Amino acid sequence: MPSLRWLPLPLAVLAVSAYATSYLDAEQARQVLFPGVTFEQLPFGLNPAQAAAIAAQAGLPVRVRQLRLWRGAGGELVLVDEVIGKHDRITYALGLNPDGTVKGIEIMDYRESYGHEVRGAAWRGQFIGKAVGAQLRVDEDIRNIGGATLSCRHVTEGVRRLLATWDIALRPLSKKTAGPASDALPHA
Amino acid sequence: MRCLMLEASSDHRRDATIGRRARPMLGTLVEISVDGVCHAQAFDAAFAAIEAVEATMSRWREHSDVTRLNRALPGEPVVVAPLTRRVLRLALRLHRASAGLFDCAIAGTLAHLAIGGDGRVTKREPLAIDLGGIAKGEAVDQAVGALRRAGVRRALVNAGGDLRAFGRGEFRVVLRDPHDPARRAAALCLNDAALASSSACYANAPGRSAIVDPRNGQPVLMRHGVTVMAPRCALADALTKVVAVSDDAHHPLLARFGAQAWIIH
Repeated sequence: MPSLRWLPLPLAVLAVSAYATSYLDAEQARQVLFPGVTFEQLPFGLNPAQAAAIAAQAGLPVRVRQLRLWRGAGGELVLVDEVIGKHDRITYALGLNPDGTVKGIEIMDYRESYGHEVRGAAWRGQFIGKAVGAQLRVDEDIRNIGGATLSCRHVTEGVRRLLATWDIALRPLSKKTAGPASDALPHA
Repeated sequence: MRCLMLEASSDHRRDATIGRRARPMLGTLVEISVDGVCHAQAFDAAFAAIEAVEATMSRWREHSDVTRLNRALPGEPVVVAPLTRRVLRLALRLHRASAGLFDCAIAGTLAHLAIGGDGRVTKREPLAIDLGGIAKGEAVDQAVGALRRAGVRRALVNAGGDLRAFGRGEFRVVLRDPHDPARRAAALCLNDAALASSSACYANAPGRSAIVDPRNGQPVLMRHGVTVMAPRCALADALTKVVAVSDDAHHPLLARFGAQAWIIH
């Protein structure tokens, strides 16, 4: 991490701020994806050859070789993964049926950093008093963001990488009567 | 248990109540925020309603109504789902009312679409459509309907910036800066209404735009963003195009549909 230094700021207020929402923790995500299923966590590390094969199949780099992985009694798998965009960082859970098909994708955490800039009065002025029930406020504590459409491209890419991960490394784990986790797992 | 509520949180039974959920859908992040106790089934119903819109109206799904309609020959009737018919009716109504400013045809013009009362839709001339500019709003509306039917009294559905709130009291919504979506610029209070925005600023290549002027087929090179508030999100979504193309925040169509617009320079 770079050390902090004090820099002179321009007069216009431009503060870096962060917007973050937590939707589900890992346990909640598992229950939403597979209600009623009991899960065990499996420590699982991809070896370099697997990582390279996944990267080649998905067309995406594998930056983290340690997986956050849970297996349900029926061979269901839940993977927790993180994708990082230019301004955002999204943690999500992918639920996989025993046959490797997607059961669901749930966003767990969404974090965004941005420069919070108070725009000019002319820009804001058009909002004031124009609408019944609509008033302009510059408010720091707002959890709903309108305006631009965010792309979910990074999550889509992450899911593609995880599906390649299943294909190359996790397929044997999706068996219904899997033995003890330590026996079934390749080493990190 | 982490449970973020829109207002002060209260006691919840574990697993039965979660205030906020989000899924990657409609090419964006769809977030549903419920104020108060809400069962997982209400979220599931709302996400399923959105998925139904995507499945029937996405141009990128192999068997969607829109795909089948685009592949059909002129004169060949295509049976579409009631939901698709509803959106096509609204699209056609807005197309006529705006004298063609709203046109979700990507080849030909929507004027050549005939919607029968029997669920059949027919192209009178070669025509291809993309409902992206209205169906996303409809998906938000459908999710709101599903939440209401599930007994939810106050919630907000946000499909990556196109959103609708219902229930008592105001929801505060920050608008992103159209010039830099990573920045937030102003805030609105929303009371039982929908909000949708359009901007060409996010198209990251010069000369490109997400919006095409149906009058001349040229991309609308906006140097601003458009935000519309309307009673329904499908309306708000569609009306952003009318405002963007006409460059008129006081276009007469807005008042007719109970909407208002802001052009953000």
